[in-house]
Amino acid sequence: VSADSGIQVRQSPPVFTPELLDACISCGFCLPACPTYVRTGQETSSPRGRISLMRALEAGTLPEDDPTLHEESSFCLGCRACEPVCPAGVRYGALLEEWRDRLWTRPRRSWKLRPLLWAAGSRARVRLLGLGRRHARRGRPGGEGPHLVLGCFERALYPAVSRAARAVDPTLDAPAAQGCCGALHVHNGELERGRELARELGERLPGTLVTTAGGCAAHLAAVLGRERVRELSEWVAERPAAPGVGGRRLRVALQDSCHLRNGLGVHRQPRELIALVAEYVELPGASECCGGAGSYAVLRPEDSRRILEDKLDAIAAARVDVVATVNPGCYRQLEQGLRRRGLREVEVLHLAELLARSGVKVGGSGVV
Amino acid sequence: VEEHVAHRPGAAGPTAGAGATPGDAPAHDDEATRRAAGRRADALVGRLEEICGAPHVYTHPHQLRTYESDGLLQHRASPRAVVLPGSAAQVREVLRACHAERVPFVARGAGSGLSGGALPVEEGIVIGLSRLRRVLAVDLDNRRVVVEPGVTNVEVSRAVGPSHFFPPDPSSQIVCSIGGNVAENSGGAHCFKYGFTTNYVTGLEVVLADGEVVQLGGEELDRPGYDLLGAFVGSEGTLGVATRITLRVCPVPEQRRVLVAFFQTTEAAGATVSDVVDCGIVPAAIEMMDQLAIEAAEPMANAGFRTDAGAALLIELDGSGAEVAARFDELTSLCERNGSLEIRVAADEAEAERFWRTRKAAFPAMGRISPHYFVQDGVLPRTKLAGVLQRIEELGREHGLRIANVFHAGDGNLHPLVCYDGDKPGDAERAEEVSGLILAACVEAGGSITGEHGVGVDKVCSMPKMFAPDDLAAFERLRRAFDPEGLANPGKVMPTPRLCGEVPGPYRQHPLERAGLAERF
Repeated sequence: VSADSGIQVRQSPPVFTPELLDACISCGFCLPACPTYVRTGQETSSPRGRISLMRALEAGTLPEDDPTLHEESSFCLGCRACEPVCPAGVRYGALLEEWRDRLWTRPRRSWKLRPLLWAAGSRARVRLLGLGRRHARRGRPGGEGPHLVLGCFERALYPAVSRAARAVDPTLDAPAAQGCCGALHVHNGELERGRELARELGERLPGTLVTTAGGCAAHLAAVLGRERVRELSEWVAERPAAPGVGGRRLRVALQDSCHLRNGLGVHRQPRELIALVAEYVELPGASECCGGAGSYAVLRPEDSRRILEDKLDAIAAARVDVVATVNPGCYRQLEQGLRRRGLREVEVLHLAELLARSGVKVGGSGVV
Repeated sequence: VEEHVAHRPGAAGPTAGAGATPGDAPAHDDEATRRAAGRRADALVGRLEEICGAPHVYTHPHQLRTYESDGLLQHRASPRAVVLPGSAAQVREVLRACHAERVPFVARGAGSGLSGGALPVEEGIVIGLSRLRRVLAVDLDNRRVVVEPGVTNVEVSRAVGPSHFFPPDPSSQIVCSIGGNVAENSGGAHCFKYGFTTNYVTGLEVVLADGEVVQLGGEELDRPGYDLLGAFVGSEGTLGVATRITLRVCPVPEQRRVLVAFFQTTEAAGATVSDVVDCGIVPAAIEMMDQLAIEAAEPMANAGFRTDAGAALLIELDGSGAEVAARFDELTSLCERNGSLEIRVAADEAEAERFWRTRKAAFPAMGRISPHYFVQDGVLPRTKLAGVLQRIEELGREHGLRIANVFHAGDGNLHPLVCYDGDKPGDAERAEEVSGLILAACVEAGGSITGEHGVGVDKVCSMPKMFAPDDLAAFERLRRAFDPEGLANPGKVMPTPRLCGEVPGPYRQHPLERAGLAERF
């Protein structure tokens, strides 16, 4: 009795890994976790709805240039909040990557994305991004590590973060001659290129990779294996550290990184580290996406701001001094949002900066 | 309800699903009626856009796709349009417009139902209530809360917490809407002690199929006159759309204790349940999972359930501290007497939560061990449990299908999960057949075909197993008293010849009735 009858079946190669698509049993447990469903009430804009679109694409009952298909693949934040709540264990993030890989081909890709992907697409250009910026520089590629991943846009936008990370753990190597991890590519329709970049980075920086970006951590872990990747808060929480001595205890909230929390399950560590140096304040909705969502803020600025609104309300109501972030995308999103709101008394910092400022140093006598 | 059988177009009203047999005169008539309704639904779209605003009316086939089914994937139908009204007043206007055009409609909450109750009708529209999600009033002194239908079950508890809670707790409580709970008279793990949704609904504002707004019940626990509220709760959307729901809530008990006991066999676990109930212990919940169900759910919840045990009993005690302590000792000794392998008590709230998650995630977690499955919802007398379980095992073996069992053991509500592979030819049919046979075994044992999931389209053809033609005819007259044209969720609950392929239907219109010349009372 389905609407599919009478529609021609496409012969082109499969879009999705069959096991990934088969896992969803349409129970709908994901609906309340999905920021776009909660805001619209429209099931097409929910993980279950999007998977039904993916299935139509796979079955060939929906053409690749269908407008709804395109709109939903781009309206989705890719925050993966649906994954931890999914009883059937659907790997939605992986499905989304495969989906965009098929849909967002060159002619259909937003013009806004092209310069971003181009700039992050080669090691030389990534180095140029950091030119004249005072990001951390130490050691040469090929050393044993542990290596600090400098990121692509982070080294240009927030060079102080990598310096702060090295202040917290001076044993970290940070060779300037490293490229982008490829997360940007994987999330924006260049699946193979994104994996290639991660493998390149893994070869260039052998041993453990420590990142200051939740998004990079999740992507690197997916390609290189979880055991080789540590996000900074995990890394610090795992080792003895000397807590610094501060003055007035600041009220500090955290904005989770979606991929760090939903992809790698890391959410306890950054909270514990903040509590070590400040008064930790759990914001309502701290675990929900801020709307930054990688390139989302650039591609869909209006939706991105709409999603941020609730968060800004929560920050204003909580009267915190600092909102700590663990991903450069969230950093930028919150910084801009707070500025627009005129909430100048709240400072946005990367967790590394907060720790460095408070004098936390790995290798000290205390145990975190 | 003033309007009776005033106007009846065509045959017994539009119905969902396909399978109209050409050459069969009534079916032919029916087909023509449906096509005409479909055309009118297309014409209705402009009016719907006026009422709710164009952004809240969907007609693009691919926007409609996700609304083609609810949690029961085996049935699919694409509606002409989906409309998401933003207020009760808009719902009323939408129903008026539908009535003016004689277009059937299906109300939908979160679409998590398991019996196809929210399956669209192809010639009709779907009214999604996901935007009606306000908590309208909280009155804890009188233990009362008033909500809109799109509020989720868990949000009701949150609205009155932490001091109070809403006891009916379907496993899908984080997503399912309270409107859907009312429609299906939903139960849940805590029903053994606390009862079903119907025990908690004291008042409803309902929009009938012609757009008339009526109040059923009120704020009091009981009212003089006929219990129309009782008729509405569990009517699966066939009597109208509830737009404002007044609920009773309970204070949170002083103490809760959750334990899980593992047994070698389901028989031993079943015997324990009987002993517990015979002893006069009324646990807040007593739930059983068999080995296959544990195997599927454990990787999701990571509660440390033993996958080598034949069955697990999840038991929650609540009440005053002294009561819980006394009952707890009785309970553990009963488990031990029946040969429990191990008893684990949740150390804290977080662990209790993990225990519960294992049980509540059990259905969807089946997706981890089988690409497809049927959920059944039989009820049987507790004393017949062992026999029926054995029969289920035999059926599984005979048909070469794996069957997991999850159940609300206290009230004998069994949920067999029949696993199959939809890509293997014939597998789905076999699974469906086995599901039917399991229900038949429940009825034979003196039970029922549904405990809490509702009849929907899934069990519509099993209704004659439960009810005589006269009973079904009486149901049909009740339904027509609320909705003379049969516009509200047609094709659900009541079997029709076309749906079930049976010739002698329970209620057939007399030709005079069909011509609008006579009415039946």
